[in-house]
Amino acid sequence: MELMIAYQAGDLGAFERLYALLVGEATRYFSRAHRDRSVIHDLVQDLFLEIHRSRRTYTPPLPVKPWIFGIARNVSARNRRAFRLQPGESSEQSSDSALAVVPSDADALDIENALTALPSSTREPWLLHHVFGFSFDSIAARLGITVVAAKLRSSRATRALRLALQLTGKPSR
Amino acid sequence: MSESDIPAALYDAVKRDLKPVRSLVSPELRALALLPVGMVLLVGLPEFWSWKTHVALAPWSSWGTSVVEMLLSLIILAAGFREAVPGRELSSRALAALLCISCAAFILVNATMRSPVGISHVLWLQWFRECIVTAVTFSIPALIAPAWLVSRALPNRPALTGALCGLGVGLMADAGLRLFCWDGDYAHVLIAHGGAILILVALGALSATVIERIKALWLRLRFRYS
Repeated sequence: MELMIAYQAGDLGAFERLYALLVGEATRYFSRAHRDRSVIHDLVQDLFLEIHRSRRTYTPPLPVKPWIFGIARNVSARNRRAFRLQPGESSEQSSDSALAVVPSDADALDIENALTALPSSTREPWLLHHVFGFSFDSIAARLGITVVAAKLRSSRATRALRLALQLTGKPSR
Repeated sequence: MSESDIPAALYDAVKRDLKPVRSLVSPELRALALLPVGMVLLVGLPEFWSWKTHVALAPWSSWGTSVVEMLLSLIILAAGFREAVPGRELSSRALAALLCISCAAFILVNATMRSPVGISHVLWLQWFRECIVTAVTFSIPALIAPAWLVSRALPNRPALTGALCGLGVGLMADAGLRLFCWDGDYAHVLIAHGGAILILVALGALSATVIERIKALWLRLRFRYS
């Protein structure tokens, strides 16, 4: 509770400690409904972002955890709604068409394989940004996620691609 | 845990936006802040109608029961504001109890209405429409205040939160409406006045859902770290 009060007072250290205390429980909470680790990671980040936005709705001296997990329910519900609104087929099509523009030499095949191995939740923001040149604002609007989440997913895809290309012996770019 | 353990994008977004905030006041106090709105609907609405149409207002005993109905509406609004705070959602038992109390109070309070007057069917229909239109017209501006208060929180069940606010405002409006209503017939009261409350419940649920969607969209556009 003291941490939350300090956070409401504008203490960044309190946020860091709060994150450390709650990230494990938040991950476990989302793991009950999702299997994909990257989706769980995204939801945890969305949760902390939502905690930040809604920090004034916490009323001391009430316990913090029910409030946090109330927000987690909200984040989870919003994610479900965004998933429902996002047309699955068209996203697959856009991914496939994006893969088609990669040149068909050996390097490109490695990239294509690495891209295919990525979960669609991270692959799509990466493709939309790095291949099609969309801004993160547009990607966020298109996928029904926050701009921060779009950037997080794209950077995670970049890291995963770099790692995959290093494992196949190709120099990372 | 340090800065390096938190994803950079999240850390930067929080750091950029971090400033001291005041926590929301309790739901009870926020409901109490709507007391002036309740007073306008309880006193202002009948007085205005009496001045406009020269209708005789209900006797003082009816004013007493209207005050009870208005206080109940504040309790329901407080419940709605509580429902809007994450982690403080009402249990289904509490919701059922609240709904039963509201229905019972509406029926009992209106059972003390003046005795019915024999009126024609045409007039009955006209007064039916008049009561609904008056209640909804005066209550829609009153619904803005709770909608704004709800939008400051983060309801997990926005439709339910809005419905509770609509119920609260509807009962508030009924507390005033019953004091100047031309028709004392119990069937009129239940159908027309009850119908107005139901319309406000639906409007409340719709407005809270729409507000939440708009808020989510606005926050998505606002939070960026580059």
